[in-house]
Amino acid sequence: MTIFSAVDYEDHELLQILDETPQEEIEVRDLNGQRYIACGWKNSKKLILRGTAGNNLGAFAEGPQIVVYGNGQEGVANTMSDGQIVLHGRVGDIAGYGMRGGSLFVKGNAGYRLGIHMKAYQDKNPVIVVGSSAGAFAGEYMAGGTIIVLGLDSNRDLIGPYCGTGMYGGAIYLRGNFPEHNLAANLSQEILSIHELSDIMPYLEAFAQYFEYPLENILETPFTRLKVLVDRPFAHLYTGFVS
Amino acid sequence: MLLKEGQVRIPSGCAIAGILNQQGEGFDGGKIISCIANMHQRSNGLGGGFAAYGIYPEFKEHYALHIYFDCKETRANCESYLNKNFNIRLQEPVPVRKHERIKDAPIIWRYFAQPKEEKLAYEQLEESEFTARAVMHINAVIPGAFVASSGHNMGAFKGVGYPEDMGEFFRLEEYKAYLWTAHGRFPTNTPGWWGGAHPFTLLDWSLVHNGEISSYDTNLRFLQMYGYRCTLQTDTEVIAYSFDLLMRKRGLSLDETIHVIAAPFWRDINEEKVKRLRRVYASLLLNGPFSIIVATGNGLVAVNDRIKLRPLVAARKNEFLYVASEEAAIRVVESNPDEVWSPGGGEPVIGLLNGREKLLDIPQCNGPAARTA
Repeated sequence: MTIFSAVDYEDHELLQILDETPQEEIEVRDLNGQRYIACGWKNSKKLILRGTAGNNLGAFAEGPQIVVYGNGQEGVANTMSDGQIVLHGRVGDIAGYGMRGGSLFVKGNAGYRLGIHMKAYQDKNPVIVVGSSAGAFAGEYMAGGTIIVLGLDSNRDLIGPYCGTGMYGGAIYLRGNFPEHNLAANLSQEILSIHELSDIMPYLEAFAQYFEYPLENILETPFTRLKVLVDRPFAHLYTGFVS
Repeated sequence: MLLKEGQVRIPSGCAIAGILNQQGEGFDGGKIISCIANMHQRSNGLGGGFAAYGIYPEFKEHYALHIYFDCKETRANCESYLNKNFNIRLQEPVPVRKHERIKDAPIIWRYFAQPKEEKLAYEQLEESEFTARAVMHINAVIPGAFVASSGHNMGAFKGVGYPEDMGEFFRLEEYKAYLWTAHGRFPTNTPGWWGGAHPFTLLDWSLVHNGEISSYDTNLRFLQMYGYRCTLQTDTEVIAYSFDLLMRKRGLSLDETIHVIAAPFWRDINEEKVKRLRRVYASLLLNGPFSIIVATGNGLVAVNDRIKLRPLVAARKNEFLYVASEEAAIRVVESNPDEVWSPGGGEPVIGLLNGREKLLDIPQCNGPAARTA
């Protein structure tokens, strides 16, 4: 493992050093707002970050395994296509924007526009798990992939307004109660028994393991799955007729 | 060869930050400079500035006018206007230091002034309205001069450069304020000139803004009907004047004002009073993305547009309230806050000095205007 302290470098130097360090495991301490860490990385390096990660952490990344002991800011996992980010804190707005593969685990809250424009294709199936709550517009324009919001240790609404607006694929799993008027109109709701959680069980187990949270506590509250009511709901938005 | 914007991508957005000591104890500008410098990448060197409250206690009964001039003749011209209308207790250059990265600075003076009694009587105005009109007059009518700030016991220090350089240029380490706000600018649609740097101010108001107001022209036309002159070529100016109109002149509460500028969508408005505000002041709805910090001598409010299209983070530690575009900017000066949170769209973070109940004390209208002839 190679260890750097972020305060020893200018922001662009730090990015360059991280890019050029050949070791498979790198730790960065005293991080405070440095942007674009692991941005566009096509490798499977393990990166441990201590501090507050700056905007666009892991943006466009394909493969790195990132653990953050601290909070994230805006654009975490923006358009990420493979790899994993495990974040022991909260994230700001547009986490998982346009994500198309890999996984993002957040222990605390997510800000506005969680996982908007997420998409899936063949073996690419992005997953976001949020431990507490998510702000408004979660899953807006979502085309594929999975968003899971657990509502653990939270005194806020599980999701904010306009959840799933314009969604046309993928699934959102909400644990426990949520304000129904915050859901977009085009969504179906299914309450799932514990046996119907097999699709997401690996992600719940991973969450429980990463953040040392008892899985049985997570499973004792029922989940609701949100999906779009009809396939391609906007196919005729501009043509005016329904086939 | 220097590449122009468009040939090179400058990934950027503005940065804002604010720090309030709720007990009213002053601290120097070092802390707010560290905050805003941490977000260096959000600005591009075409604007930086600070507002500081509590810096002129020995002149707290006077309007502290910070005025920028393009040349000596302009200053003479402006001073003759000021001398006709104000009693000036002290006038002096705002102290600056030479700075390698701050170039083409205008002439910057400050005037501690009070409106002349006979002028107030003649104009039938109370002193804050008289002073606000004087600010509009200087900005609109005296070419080459503009007022950077005009409040009591406060001042704005702004110009073209990175904010941390601007802080050194204006020697902010020599001032003690209980409330600081700061801005790093990345101009989008409007020129990066000294008057276009934030904060924008009027009387005790100051305002820093990240975002852009696409309703600028609508807001401008409405404000013009009430005597506001928008001359600084930047959208943010209308936000400052909107707060002034709604709160100082119309007496709306802060809550009502937030409902006007960041009104919820119609489908989310339930209260009849909010509906009425939405209709009456439809032209003061600020459309477009924004996060702003509005300050007065009593405290600050930080708020986003109704669907939160710009970042905003708040934190508390003992008597300090911090607000900033990025959490990192707060952690650089307070590594272990008691609480950190992101407010939702249209959800204000309000910090007032202990013992103050309102963001703005409305001036009493029992001055010369109310006196019988």
